Amino acid sequence: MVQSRRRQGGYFRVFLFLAPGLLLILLFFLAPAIITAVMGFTNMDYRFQWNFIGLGNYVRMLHDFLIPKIAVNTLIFTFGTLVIFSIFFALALALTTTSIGERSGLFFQALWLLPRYTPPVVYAVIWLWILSPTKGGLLNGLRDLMGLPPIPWILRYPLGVIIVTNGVIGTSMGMLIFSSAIKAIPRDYLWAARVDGASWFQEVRYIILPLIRWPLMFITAYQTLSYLTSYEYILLITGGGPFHASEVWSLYAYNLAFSSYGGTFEFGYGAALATVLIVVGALASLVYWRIFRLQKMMAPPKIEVL
Amino acid sequence: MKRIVGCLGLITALVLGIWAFSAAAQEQEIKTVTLRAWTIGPDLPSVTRKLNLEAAVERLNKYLKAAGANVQVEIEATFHTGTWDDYKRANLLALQTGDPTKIPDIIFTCHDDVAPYAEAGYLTCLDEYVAKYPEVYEDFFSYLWDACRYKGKIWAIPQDTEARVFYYRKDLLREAGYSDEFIESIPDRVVKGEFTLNDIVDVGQRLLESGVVEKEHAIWHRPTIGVDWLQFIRAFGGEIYDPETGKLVVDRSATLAFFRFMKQLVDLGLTPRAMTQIAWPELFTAFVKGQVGIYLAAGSWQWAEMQGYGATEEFLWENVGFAPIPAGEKGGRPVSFSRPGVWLIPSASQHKDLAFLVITLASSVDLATRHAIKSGHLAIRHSQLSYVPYAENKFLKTVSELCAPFGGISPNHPQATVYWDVLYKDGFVPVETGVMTPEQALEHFIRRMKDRLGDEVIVRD
Repeated sequence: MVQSRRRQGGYFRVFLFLAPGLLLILLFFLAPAIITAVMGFTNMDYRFQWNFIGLGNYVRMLHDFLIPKIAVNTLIFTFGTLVIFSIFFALALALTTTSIGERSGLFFQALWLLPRYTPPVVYAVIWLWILSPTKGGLLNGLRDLMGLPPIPWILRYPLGVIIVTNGVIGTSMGMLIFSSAIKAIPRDYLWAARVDGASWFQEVRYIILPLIRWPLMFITAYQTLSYLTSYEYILLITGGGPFHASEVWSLYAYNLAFSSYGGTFEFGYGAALATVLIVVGALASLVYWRIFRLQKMMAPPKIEVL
Repeated sequence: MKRIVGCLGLITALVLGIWAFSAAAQEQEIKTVTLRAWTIGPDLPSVTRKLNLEAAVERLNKYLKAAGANVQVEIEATFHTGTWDDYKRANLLALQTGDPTKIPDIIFTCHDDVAPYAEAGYLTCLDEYVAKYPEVYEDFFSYLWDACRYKGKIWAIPQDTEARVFYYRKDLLREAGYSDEFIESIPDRVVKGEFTLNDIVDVGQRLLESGVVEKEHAIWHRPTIGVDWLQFIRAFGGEIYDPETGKLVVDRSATLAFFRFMKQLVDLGLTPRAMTQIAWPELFTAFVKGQVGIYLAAGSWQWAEMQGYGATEEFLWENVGFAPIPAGEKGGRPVSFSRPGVWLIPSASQHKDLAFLVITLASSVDLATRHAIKSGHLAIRHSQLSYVPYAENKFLKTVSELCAPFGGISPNHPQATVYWDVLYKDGFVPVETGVMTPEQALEHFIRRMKDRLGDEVIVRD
């Protein structure tokens, strides 16, 4: 029996339980977002002065001739990595690792988690060695053994490189969530299907996929935002090059704001760029919320399993 | 009765003891002042920057003790071996807090930080301090003070300097058929303006054609942003700074010539298109192993760095030659920029006089020479030239003689490093990687410079 919580003090107790989480969100998400947005209206640089210039930075953005290219890069990177790695590849991994025995499945899942837990710089250095344009690199070394000339991977396929290098990490989250969702599917359904003569593929298509609908949608929404704002691996591996070919919006903002070896900390403009990203992210979340009807996922269950 | 006397005696002894002890302790009470300093290499041989500060403090304590002063100095110096990027970021974030507990008393950095930091008010003006110790500071080379000045005032003390050169493998040139006489005469010809960047291309081609090096291994260059690239503008006869207006200058014809030169290098198969994707360790290893013939846009401190990759000094003298960056056309002047390292004293420091004294002591002839020799940097004081360890150091002596007449620095303009950034990312790298033609890149470069610098840049033909 569901107890009614509409008593005095009930909401207060709920609030108390949520308070630590809310505080964290306020301090580490909301407050910085607001400060960044305000900073976007200044022309703050290495002098750290709050000179308000109104919409000056946004006007500059409209005239910045690199912005269209960067916007396109961001779209290709975000949705490319999302669809190829976070959804399809993660799903493939989840399905295969749950179809083989438990031990082997866990072993391969652990392997795929390794990139995520490797320190970013180490991860980047390994990839730089793999992708080195000379024979000393892994891929070109193998090509050399086969008598083929070396390919400058990062130069020729900058977007491909950032999609693959980020995807290899991103895929593990989807894999974990999908595989636990798959394991939570009652075995009865699958046995019943097998008794009726369903092939593995039919099992996947008609039973497993529909039952992991929510995790699929969640991962789509979550990873979209994740890729929209991630730039560390791109910074370390391609640097946004060559010539802004792999530079995404967040990296562009970062470079202008924080790159000091060859720049002088344009915090104001960088903050304005970041604010645009915040707005886009918020809009994307709203769109996903609506399309996927995520409200339904959060509703109280219609069946009470005792 | 005995007990009373005994107790009184004990108490007296106790009181006397405490009084004596505290008196003695007060006599020996020594005040310790702690200074904090941040330094960076990032190359490992440059750790002498930190060590020199520590040695200076040791000497200072020695003198203080001899003078019977009750003060001793301690120094907590760090040495950063990561990138300049993180180091500069950390410095700026600390400086902007204005909090003396977060800001060190001494910061080592390169002179290009002088202009922005002075402009922002983070530094102590050092004109008066320098005037206090003429016995030391009048010995410094006068051109180094240019790197320390902004708007006519001194904001930093020179710590070291270097020269930028190009290195070439003499043994590979010999294999390609060049005579010993020619090879040994290269530095001389560069200085006279007879050996130009076009000649470097010719040498590279011959290395490739004779099979001494593999494709795209004839000429390699520095794979990162740096002041080095500004040298090429000068080499092709252009200017980068207008001292009258204090603005940065873009010289169209010189910049175009530079882009065309870089295009030539990749078109002829001398340099890989992906040169800027090659990491430093790979570059040094390949050059030291003799897989690459010429290393362009290099620095004198890399002579010491190469020794860390397995080349002994004898090996280097036998097989590696060096000269300033040649002129673009015959009859022009070669170039060799320096990026002097400097000591800064933040305005938030609470021990300015002491910090300055420590820096002065760390600039003594023997300590400065120790740093120069260990890390391949050049002399900052006239006295060093006649100081035996320096004078006997063949490399430093040769480099100084070759490069000093053609020295130059990045202008002390607060946004000078933007020039470095745009010239690299939006200038010659698109040309080298084949994304744009030199003409397209020039227009793009100028557009981006105006975008980021606004009025601070003048474009000349």
